[in-house]
Amino acid sequence: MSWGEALGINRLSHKLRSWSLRRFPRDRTVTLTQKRIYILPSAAGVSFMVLLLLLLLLAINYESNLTYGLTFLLASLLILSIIQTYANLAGLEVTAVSGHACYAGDQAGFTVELRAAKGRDHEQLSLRWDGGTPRTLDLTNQRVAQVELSCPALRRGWLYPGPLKLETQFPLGLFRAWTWIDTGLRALVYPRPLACRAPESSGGDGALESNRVRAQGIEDFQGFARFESGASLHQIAWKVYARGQGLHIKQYSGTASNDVWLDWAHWPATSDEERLSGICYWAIELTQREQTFGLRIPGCVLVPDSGESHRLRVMKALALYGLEGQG
Amino acid sequence: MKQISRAAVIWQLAAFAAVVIPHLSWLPFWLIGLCLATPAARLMIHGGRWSLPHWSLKLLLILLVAAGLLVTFSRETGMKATVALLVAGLALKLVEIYHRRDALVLLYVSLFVCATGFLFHQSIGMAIYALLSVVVVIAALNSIFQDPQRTDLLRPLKRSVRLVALSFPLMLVLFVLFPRIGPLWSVPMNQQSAVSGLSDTLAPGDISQLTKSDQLAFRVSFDGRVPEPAQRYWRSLVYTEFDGRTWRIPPGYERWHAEEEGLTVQGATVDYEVIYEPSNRNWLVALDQPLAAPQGMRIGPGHTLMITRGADRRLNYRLRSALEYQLQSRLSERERAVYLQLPPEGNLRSRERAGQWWEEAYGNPERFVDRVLDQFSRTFTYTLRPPALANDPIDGFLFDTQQGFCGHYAGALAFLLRSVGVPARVVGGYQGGEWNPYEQYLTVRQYDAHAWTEYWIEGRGWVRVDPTAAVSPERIVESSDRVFAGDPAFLSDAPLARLRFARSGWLVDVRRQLEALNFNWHRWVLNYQGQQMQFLGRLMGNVSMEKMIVALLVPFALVMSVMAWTQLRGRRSSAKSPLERKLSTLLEKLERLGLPRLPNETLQAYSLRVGKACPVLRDPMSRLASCDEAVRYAEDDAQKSDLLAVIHECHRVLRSVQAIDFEERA
Repeated sequence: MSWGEALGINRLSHKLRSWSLRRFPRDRTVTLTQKRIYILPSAAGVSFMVLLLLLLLLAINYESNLTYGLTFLLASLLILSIIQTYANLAGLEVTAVSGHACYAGDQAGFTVELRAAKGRDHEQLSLRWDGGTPRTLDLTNQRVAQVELSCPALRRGWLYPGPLKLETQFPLGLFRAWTWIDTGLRALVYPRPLACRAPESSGGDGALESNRVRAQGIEDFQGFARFESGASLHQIAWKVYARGQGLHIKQYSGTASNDVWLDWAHWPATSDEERLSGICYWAIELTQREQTFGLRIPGCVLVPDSGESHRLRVMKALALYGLEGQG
Repeated sequence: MKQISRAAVIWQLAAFAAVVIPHLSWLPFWLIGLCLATPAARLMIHGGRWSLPHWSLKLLLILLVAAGLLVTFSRETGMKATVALLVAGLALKLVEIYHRRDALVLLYVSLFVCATGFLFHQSIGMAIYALLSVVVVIAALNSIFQDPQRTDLLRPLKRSVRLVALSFPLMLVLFVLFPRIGPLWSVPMNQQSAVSGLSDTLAPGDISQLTKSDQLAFRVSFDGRVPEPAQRYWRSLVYTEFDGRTWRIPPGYERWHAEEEGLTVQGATVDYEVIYEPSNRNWLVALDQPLAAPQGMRIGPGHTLMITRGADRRLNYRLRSALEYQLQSRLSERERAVYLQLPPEGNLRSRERAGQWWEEAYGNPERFVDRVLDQFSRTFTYTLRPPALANDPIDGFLFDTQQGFCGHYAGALAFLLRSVGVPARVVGGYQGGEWNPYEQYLTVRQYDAHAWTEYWIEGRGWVRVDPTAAVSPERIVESSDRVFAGDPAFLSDAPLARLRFARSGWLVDVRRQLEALNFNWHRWVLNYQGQQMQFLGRLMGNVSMEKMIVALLVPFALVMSVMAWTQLRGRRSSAKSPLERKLSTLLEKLERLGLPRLPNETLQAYSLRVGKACPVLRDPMSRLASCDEAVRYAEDDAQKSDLLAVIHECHRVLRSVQAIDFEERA
C-alpha cells in the first residue's frame, strides 16, 4: 500500500502490532473478540465516504430530500458494514495445529484450524504470515476448516513465521477488520541437500570405505534371498521377477555388517553449511537405500541405525547444528 | 489487483442498467445506443466470443463519445450535461471492467448517477425504483467481495436486500433529524423546462390557454378554518397598464413598496401552508390578502407575494391572510395616475357607454359596478372559446361578441371604471381549487387560473369585484373542472386527464386517495425542510442543540444495537419441538461444564460417558437415553411426558452439582 507508506501508516501499524501481541499471551487456541479485532476503513471505504460527501453536497444544493434520503441510506450501510465486517471475524476460533519441516529455500507449511462461531458464517477470511502470500477461505458450509499456510524458509534451523494476520473485508469491502495472533508455531528447516561425492577415506576407517563404494555405485553383490514382506522395493530383484522366478531380494555385502558413518571430521572442509548440506544429502540417500548409518558431528553423535525416524533425528541434528541455543 | 469473478461481471451490468434506466427519457439518442451497445459487447466478451478491446479501439471510442457530448451539450453546462458525461463514462468503463478497482469505480459512479435521477423525477415510484437500484448496486458491490468461486447469482442479492433492510431504520432517523441548510452555492435548475402559469401580461385569450392544462399549480393545507369556495381568491399578479389590448405590469412597478399601501385586518385571519410547484417566475400566490411575507419573499405592489429569485424549485411557505380587510385607504397622486392610466384613444364606444352608466349611477362607483355587472349577467355568455377580437377589443367584446372568459370581463370592467375616473386594476391569480377530503388540502391546477378586478373607493380602499361571478356564478362556487366538463376546449392539451373527472363512484375516491398520498409525499418527504422544525418541535418541545444530539444518539444507539444483535446472534436453530429444545438446552449446559457430546456419539454412549464423569448424573442420564430412544424409535407418545420429567430432573441435579461445585471452590 503506497499511500500507507507515504503517511507513515506502516510504521504505526508495526507499533500497533507489537502492542497488540504484547497484550495477549501466546495460546494454542484463540477466540477472536472485540479486544483483539481492529477495524479501519479500507481505501474503498475512504472513497465511499468521499462519494457520500458529494451526494450530501448534491442534496444540499438542490434541496433534494430524496437525495438526502439516498445519502443517509448509504451512510447507514457504511455504518452497518462496520458491524458486518467485525462480525465476520468475531467469535472465530483459531487453533495453531502444527508446523511442517522443509528444506532451506523451500516453503515451510503450517496448519491452522479455524472454527466458526456457533450458527454463524464467516466469509472471505484471509490468513497470512507477515510477508507471506494470503490464503482466503469461507466458513459457510463447514464449521471447521484447516488451512495450510506457507512461509519461505531461507535458513536451516527453527523457522518462526511471526504473527499470523487474519483479515477480512467482507461483505462490502468498505472496512478492513484484522487481528494478529501469536500462534507459537514453528517449523524445522533442514539444510538444503546438495548432491556431492562422498569424501575419500583418510584412515583405515571401514565406514568411509564403504561410503566411497556406495558413492560410486559399485556394490558387492552377494546373492538373492527370498522376498519377505516389509522389504524395500529398491531391493527387489525385478529382473528375476520378470523371468518368472518369484520375488527375490538382492543382497549386498556390508548392508548389515558394515556400518556407515557420516562423519563431520572426514567431510571435505569447504564451509559448515556446505558440509551440512552434503551430509544431509547422504542421509536421505542412505535412508532410501535402507543403509544403516551413524552421524558424528561436533556436539552430537547418533549411533548407526536405519529407517525414517532415524533419518528425522539425523536431519534435526543437522538442522540445529550450532544453533542449539536457539529456541 | 484482484480480478473479479464472472458472476460479479453480470452484477456490474445489472447495476449499470438499473441506474441508467431512469435517465433514458431525456438522454440523447446516440448515448442510449451506446448504453445498449457496451453491455452487449461486455456480454460477448463474457461469453468468450470477443476479447477485451485493444487500447486503440478504446481511445477511438472515448474520442467519439467526447465529440458527441461536446456537440450535444455545448449549449448547456447544467446537471444534464454532467449526468450525460457520467453515463457515457459508465458505459465505456463497462467494456473494460476486469479488476476489482474498475468495478468499484463503476459502482460508485453508478450510485451518484442514481442520486441525480432525483433531479429529474421525484415521484413515489421513482423513490421506490431508486431504492431497488441501490439494492442492485450493493449486490454488485458484494459480488466483487465474495468468494470468486461462487456462481450463485442470487446470493449477493439476498445479502444486499438484508443489508439495505437493516440500514433502513437508521436512514429514517438521519432523515428526520439531520438539519437542512440552504444551498451552499446557486445551481442552475430546470433550465429547459418551460415557464408555466400566469404571465406578466394579460391579453384577452391568455387565461383560456391555461385552462387547457391540468398541471398542478400549488397545494394548500389550512390550519383550522377553511375559507368558503367563494372566498378562495389566490392573488398572484396585479396588472396596471393597459395599451388598448393587453394589460401588463409597468416597468419599475415591482419596486414599489407594499408597506406604504397599509392593510387593516377587519375580521378573522386564516393560517395556511402553500406548496408551490416550480414555475420559473418570481411571483407566488397568496390568499386575499397576505399579512406578512415569509423569509426570502416579500409582498410587492398590489399586495402580491414575490420571491427574489425565480421559483425554479418547489417552494413551501406558511402565510397568514385576512379575508376581510381594508387595503390602502389613501392613494397618492402618483398611484392615482397609474391606476387611472388609459391609452389616449381607442374603444370610443365603450368610453361613451361608461359615461352614460356613470351618470345613471349618480357618480357612485359601487352603483356603477352593479350596473355593469347587471349588464353582464343579462346578455353575456361565459365561454372558453370566445371569438377573436379585432381592433378596439373592448368595444368588440362589449357590443359585438359578448362572449368571453374571465380575462375579458375583468379587463373590460377595469377599463370602464378607469374611463369614468375610478382607479382600478386587474388581478391575476387562481380561484377555487379541489378539496381533498382524505388529507384535508386544496389542490389548485393551472385550469383554475382566474382574473378579476379591484377598484378603489375613497375611505374604503381597494374593493374586489369578480365580474365572472355575475356571468357564471357557478364558476366561483364550484371548481372549473365541473363548470367546463362539457367544453371540448377544456383540458384539450391533456386528453387523458379528462378521464380522471369521473363525476361519482369509486373512481373519484381512488383518485382522491392517490392524490392525498402524493400530497403527503410532497409535504413530508420532498419538502421535509419546510416541515422539519415544526415536526421536531411537536416531537420534543422546543428544539435545542442538546435535545437534537440526544434525539440523534438514542435511536442511533438503539438501531445499532439491534443491528449488532442480529449480526452476532447467528442463525436461529431450525424449528424444533419444545421437547427437543429442552433437550438441546440440557446438552448445551453439559457442554459448558466440559462434557460436550461428540458429533458421532449416540445419546446412549454419551449418557454413559457423562455418568462416568459425574456419578450423580448416571441414573437420570441413562433413563434419559432410554426414554429418548423410546420416543424416537418406538414412537411411544406416552413416554414423552416421562422424557420431559427426566430432562427436568437432570436440570435439577445439574443445578445442585453446580451449587456444590461453587461451595467447594469458595
